[in-house]
Formats: sequence, C-alpha cells, structure tokens
Amino acid sequence: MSLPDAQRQLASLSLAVLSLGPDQTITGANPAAEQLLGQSMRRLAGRPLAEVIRFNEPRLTDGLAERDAQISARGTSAFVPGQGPRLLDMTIAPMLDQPGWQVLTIHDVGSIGEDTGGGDDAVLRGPEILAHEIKNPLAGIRGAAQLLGRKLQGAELALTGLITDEVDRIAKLIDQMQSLSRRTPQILSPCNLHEAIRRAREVLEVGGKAPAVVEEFDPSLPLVFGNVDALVQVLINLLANASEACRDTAAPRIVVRTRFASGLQLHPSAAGKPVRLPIELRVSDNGPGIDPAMREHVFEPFVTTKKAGQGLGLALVRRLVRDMNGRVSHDRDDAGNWTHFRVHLPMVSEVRSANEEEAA
Amino acid sequence: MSVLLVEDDETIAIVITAALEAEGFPVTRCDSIAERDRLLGARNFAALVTDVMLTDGDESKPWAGSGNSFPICR
Repeated sequence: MSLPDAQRQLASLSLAVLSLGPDQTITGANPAAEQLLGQSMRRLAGRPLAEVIRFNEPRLTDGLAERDAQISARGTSAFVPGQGPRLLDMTIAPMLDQPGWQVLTIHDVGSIGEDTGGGDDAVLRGPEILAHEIKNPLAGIRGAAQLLGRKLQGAELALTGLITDEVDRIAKLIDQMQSLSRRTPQILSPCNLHEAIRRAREVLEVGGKAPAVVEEFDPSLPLVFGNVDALVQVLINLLANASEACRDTAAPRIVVRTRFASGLQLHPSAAGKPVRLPIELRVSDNGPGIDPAMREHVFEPFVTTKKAGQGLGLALVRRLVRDMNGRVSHDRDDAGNWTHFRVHLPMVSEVRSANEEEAA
Repeated sequence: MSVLLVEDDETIAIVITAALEAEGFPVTRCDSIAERDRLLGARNFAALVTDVMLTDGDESKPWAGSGNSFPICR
C-alpha cells in the first residue's frame, strides 16, 4: 500500500492550513481553512491574507511581514470578515526550500464571548473573579484608615498604619494569585535569552534588590523559542530567590549560566510530539539550600520556606516555563554547596536555520 | 465649590466623600451615568470625580457634558 499524497493528507486535517507566497497572498488552503475563512480555495487564491483575516496582535502581523519568522500563539484574537471575531491557536513558519513562502496553521478555538471552557476553566478564573471583588473593599478599608490616621498620632497612628500595611499585603497576594491564574494569550517567537537576563537584572537594580551576579554565558547560544516577557519574569523570580537564599551567607555568590546541551531533555509537547529542550539556563546560589522536607514541593502554589513569602514565585515560574514548552527543576550540590535551578527551553527549529543558510 | 462624585461602589464612595469633605468640599454623589447627566443638567459643579467602569457604561469613553465643560485630569 502506498502512502497517500500530501494533498490528501492535508485535506483530511481538521486543522486549517494556509500557504502564503512572498507577497503574503494566499497560494493554498486546505478544506479546514476554507471552512474557517468561509470561502472556497478558488476565491481565496491570490488574495492578500489581510483581506480574509486580521490579527489583533501586532507581533503576528509583524511576524508575517518578516517572512522567515517562526511564531506560535495561543488564544489570540483575530477578525474574520463575515465570521466575526474569533479566538485562535496558530503557528507561522517559513516553508522549507521555498524562500519567502510561509505556512500558517490555525485552530479555531471559538468565537469571542462564547463560553469555550468547561468547569476547569471556571476554577482557573475563580481567583481572578474573587480578586476583583476583594480589591474594591480593600481600597475602601485602606482609604478609611488613612483618613482616620490624619487625626491620630503616636501609638494610635501606628495602628492605622498597621491597617494600611496589612491591606497592602493582602493586595500584593491577590496580585500574585491573579498573575498565576490569568490566562493571557501567549505568543512564542525567537528570543535572546541573554537579553532577557539583562532586562531582569535591570528591573532588580531599579528595585534596589540587585544581587551581585556572575554571568557565565555561552556566546554562541541559539535563540530560544519562547516569550521574552515570560523569560524576564522567570529570571526576576529566580534571581530574587537566589539573592534571598544566600543573604545570610558569609560570601554570597550567585551564578547565572547559559549553555547549549544538545540531546539533553526530551519531553512530549501538548500535541504529543517530542520536543528537544537543548537550551539550559541555570541560576545557582551558595545559600544553605532548600529544606529537604520542602524540596519536592517548591513549585507548588502556597508552598514557601520564607517567613514573609506567599509561595507563589516558583509556582509562577513553573507555569510560565511550561507555557513555553520548557521544564524547570532544581538540584543540590552538597559538595560545592550550591543550589541550582535549571530551566530547559526549546530552541528555534531547524527550518529557520535552513532558510537562513539559503539566504546567506 | 461643590464636587460631583460618580461612584457605584458604596465603600469607595463613603471614603472619597469623607476625604473631600475633610478638605472642605461639599460632595454630591450619584452612582450611574444617567444620574450624573441629570445632575449636570440641573446644577453647576466645580469638579467631577468619577469611577471609570459603571454599571450603565464605560465612563472613559468621551461624553458631552450638558452645559458644563470640565478639563479632564486623569
């Protein structure tokens, strides 16, 4: 039995697939794409993509214009004339051996406003709804305490100060819970990990919390297929933790290392396809290490070893890394007295480098 | 120097009213855009303090004051 040809395979897909020529006009559409766009291939052929679908996210439009960009977006919104606003999961990739051509895959998640999620979704949104309902009364309590404080002094003023401080603490906790539960559309594209490290260090410097960090960078590190804002947040949390961990150490040391570990780490993606995670980011500190009883649980929400911690920093790190199809882990080197946090991330796939070689 | 406060959250409204009155400004409060427009048509206010999202509309959208014109500070 011979393998069915590519056309037939594409026609059987429930995923919409479009091919674009160098001027971003449609050169091919499978039946799922015809259905999504509400037009037949005969009418689609030769038309600019922008006429049949408009993306709200500028990075998608820019990526299309770039032609060799590789982008993946989840839950991004777009407008399809005749069909209205849609919520889409999609990818953009350069076509192999066809310089300037691109392939789009689009999965229609639903129309905006439609209840697309099941019970699980409602549970995830719970904290966000709760947060909104708690924040207004909190602002009222805080304002009332401030007003009362104007008429007070000494020990009594300290009590209204306690009210505002504690309200601020609750508000901060709620902010963190919100960022953990929020389901923002995630756009993945090639990004420079070293650039993200520098940005995270700048943020910590502005906050006056900059630890002295030794950088051990692999200068030839390939681009990560990730999200720069998520990477910066991951690094801020890991660096802040490291600096706190070795605060009471006689000679505190923090080392950030990047390296390319070819062949390391393989894990199945959401689609079941194995993904290589060859880019390793390691943040190490010479603090006393995580309490052995807690080691298994540090990435779980509300687990903390700190007196004033809420236990959401590492939970957020894990969620952000997973959203980038990566993995995070930690290990202890007792001999060298180091605690290592390792993040393994995918690199930009070889399709891109093949095209780049052709361009060079 | 009367101030019109548009705020639909009771707690926030009480606190803002107390703060403004402590500074010597008499406050008239309402909780909707419809009520605000009625009050603006009926009286003159020196200033308007408003919530952004109200139950009957989004206050951040441009609106034509009825006879009053306020420079907006955000």
